[in-house]
Amino acid sequence: MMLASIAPAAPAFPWHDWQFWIATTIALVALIALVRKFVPATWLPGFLARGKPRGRKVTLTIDGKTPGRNDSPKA
Amino acid sequence: MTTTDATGLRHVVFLGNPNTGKTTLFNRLSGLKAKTSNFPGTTQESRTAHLHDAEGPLAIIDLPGVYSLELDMSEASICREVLAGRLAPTGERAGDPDAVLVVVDSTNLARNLILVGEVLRRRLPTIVALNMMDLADREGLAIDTDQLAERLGCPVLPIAARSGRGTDRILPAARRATIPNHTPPGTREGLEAWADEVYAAVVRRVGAGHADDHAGAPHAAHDDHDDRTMPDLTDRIDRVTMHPVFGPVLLLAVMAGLFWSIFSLAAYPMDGIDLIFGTLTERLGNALPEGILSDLFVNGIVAGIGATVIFLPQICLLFFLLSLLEDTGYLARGAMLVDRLLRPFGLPGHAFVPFLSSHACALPGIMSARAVPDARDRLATILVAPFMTCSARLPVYILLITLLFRDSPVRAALAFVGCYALGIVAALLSALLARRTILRGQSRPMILELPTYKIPSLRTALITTADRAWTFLKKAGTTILGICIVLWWLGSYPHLTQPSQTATQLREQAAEVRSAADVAMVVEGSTINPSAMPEAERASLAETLDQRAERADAVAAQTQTFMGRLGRLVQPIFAPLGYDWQLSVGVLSSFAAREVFVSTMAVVTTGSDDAEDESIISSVQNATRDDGTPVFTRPVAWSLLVYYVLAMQCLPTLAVTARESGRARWALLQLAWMCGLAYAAAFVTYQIASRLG
Amino acid sequence: MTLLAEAPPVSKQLSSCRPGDIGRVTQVDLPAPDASMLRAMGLRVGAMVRISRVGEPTVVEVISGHECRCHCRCRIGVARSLAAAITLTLGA
Repeated sequence: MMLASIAPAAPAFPWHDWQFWIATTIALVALIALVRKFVPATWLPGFLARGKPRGRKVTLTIDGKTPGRNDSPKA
Repeated sequence: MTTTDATGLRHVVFLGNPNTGKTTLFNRLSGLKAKTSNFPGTTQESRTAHLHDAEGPLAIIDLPGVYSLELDMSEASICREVLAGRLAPTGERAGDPDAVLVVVDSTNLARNLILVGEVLRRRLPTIVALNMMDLADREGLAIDTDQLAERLGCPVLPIAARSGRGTDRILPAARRATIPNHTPPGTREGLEAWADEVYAAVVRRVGAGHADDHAGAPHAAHDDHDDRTMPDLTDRIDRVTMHPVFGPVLLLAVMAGLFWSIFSLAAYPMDGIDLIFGTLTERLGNALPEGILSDLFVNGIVAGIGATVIFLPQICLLFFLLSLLEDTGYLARGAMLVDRLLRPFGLPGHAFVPFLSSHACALPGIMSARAVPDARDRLATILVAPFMTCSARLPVYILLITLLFRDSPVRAALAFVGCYALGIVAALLSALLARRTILRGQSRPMILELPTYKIPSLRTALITTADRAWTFLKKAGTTILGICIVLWWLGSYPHLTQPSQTATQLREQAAEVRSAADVAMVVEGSTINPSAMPEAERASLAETLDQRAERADAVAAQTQTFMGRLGRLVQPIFAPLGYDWQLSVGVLSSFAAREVFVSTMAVVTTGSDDAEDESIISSVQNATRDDGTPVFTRPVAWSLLVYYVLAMQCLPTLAVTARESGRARWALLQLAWMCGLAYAAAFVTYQIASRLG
Repeated sequence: MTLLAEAPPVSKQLSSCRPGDIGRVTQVDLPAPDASMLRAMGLRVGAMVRISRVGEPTVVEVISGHECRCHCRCRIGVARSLAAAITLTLGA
């Protein structure tokens, strides 16, 4: 009795397949983009933080002080 | 030094009190050319548009509405900085503006003149746009614009931004604006007296039934009061909308209508988008050569884009309707009515709109919190807004509530409402706790101008909707796409190296059925002999067995992937909640984006990612654990439902929280608190439900 | 013919007024941020106001400035706690 064809054993990682490398690169780029987006620049190693803005300090005016309070109108 | 640069680009800033039609005018002049950005160092939005005409390029910048430049508020501070030439929206060069356009409400001129006076004192090229002239005409107000221009020392242009009347003269006048030749007094009292004097000199009341009297001429006090104190249409409408009993009832009805619109009307375009992406996925799958990249493209990229775009109809409809409501003037009344309900919990009435928006998506909801004036109030609003049930939670609710109340639509509906209520209660109690601990202090009592009721502008609503939709796509779409790609990879590798034992057995059975073997075999609990079966029945059974074998392989493959292994690794953490490794995979993947839960569960339990297929949903609901017991028991379903109501499972929302609050630690606190609360509540729910059976 | 004497002006807290009352603002006893905001919105000492709604919230309509008998109308909603700190003279 012939058994139905069984799916042949496949490698865990298809190293030989160029498509695997491209797909993995794309996934890696996506991962790096997500990490750079969510992790503050000061927490990232140098090569990942390169090009990322250092983070802007945003004020909610909790202290009620905001820049330029003392400017006076021109006479 | 002005901002005019080598290209001749002139910068004109739009300034004015709130509710003067400044943004309506801006939208009329800029159309869809405007882009939204922030002022550096703040969360304050600014809209900027670059225009071109025969006279050269022009950049118009819409500043936040302020009652006075001297108030101690971030909006006023930003306006001061821009006028002083020290601040500009991101992407624009800072410097003294080439012209300041002050938009004034002609039906409320006396108060608006104070801001005009503050601007005139800054000695910048200024023009004044006297807006809402159509309303002034209707109210019988005659304004001598020539005399007003003479007293202000700058051009005054009567316009009606809503209809476009006179707006074509704005930009040419802005190009020729000069420094005014009058300087109003510098003290507050002096400025107010000056504004009153100017008003008295230029405004008259004309119209049927009224003598043509000069605003400053002495006449009997009751004559003044007769027409000014008579209730107008807005007063009459307010008697209903602000009524102590009818007011809240009407508000509830309006909100219910809003929700009904979002969840019923939006269903049609959402179904359309679903169909488009489903068809696209199928066609791409057939057109592309089979392989890894095809799989990535179809199941990672297209799925990721679809997962974002599917929410656009709800977001667009919500902001369209909110913009219309705001434009009518009703939303301000709603915020004041809700203030009394929210203040005991340390939240302001201004949180009404952010919470409402968060029911579609927390991302624009949190951004709406910029309208909350007080800093602590704003932070409290931002931290608890994600408790509102957003659209991404709905597929999870549907999956679980259908399972719990399969035969009782009424109970299912109540459970749905209960989920919404649980989110709202959790938000209020969390805010109360925050205001007693980390954000100590009372919520600031509300002060809000209630604008005159108006017919809303469709144009403004459409432009606002387009702007919000684009912001959502940019902020959430890119994140969700990245997440879907990463999850695809983690859920694909490493491959299963050998077919699963279950799959092998099923394929052997299928082969025996096809060959009509004369042997007794047990299939799906029944004993059969293939040789005694009709051919058609054998073919159908063999096909079913092959499909089950494929699914068994796919499920087995999932356990071998990084995602599956991670699920098994963290399963002990979720064991007290009743979750097995499959549910742990679903919950883990949901931490990135809730919307992937159902499709992840479909892949993990059935091997198929077609989360719309009813048979797949049914299969998910009937999935079994490794020991053969159901994955979704009633206690587990309840526990999962409570978990998803309360947990923070949205990376884009965390990113926006960090940005809007100015500190990553607030986002981390939000994550820790919501997930901790969700875990505890799900644990208690599971334990109680298990004991009750 | 008997002339009815005009009722003398009465000083009241805004929170104690009734809908329809008309009066002139004589005192705003609030912290600086709230007082400044109300003043910038037009609710300043000397302003003539008409009470539209009392309670939570209280809604007043500013119908006149300090010196001018203008026809501006703007409605301001304030929390009851703030209304209690604003004093009007009715019948002035």
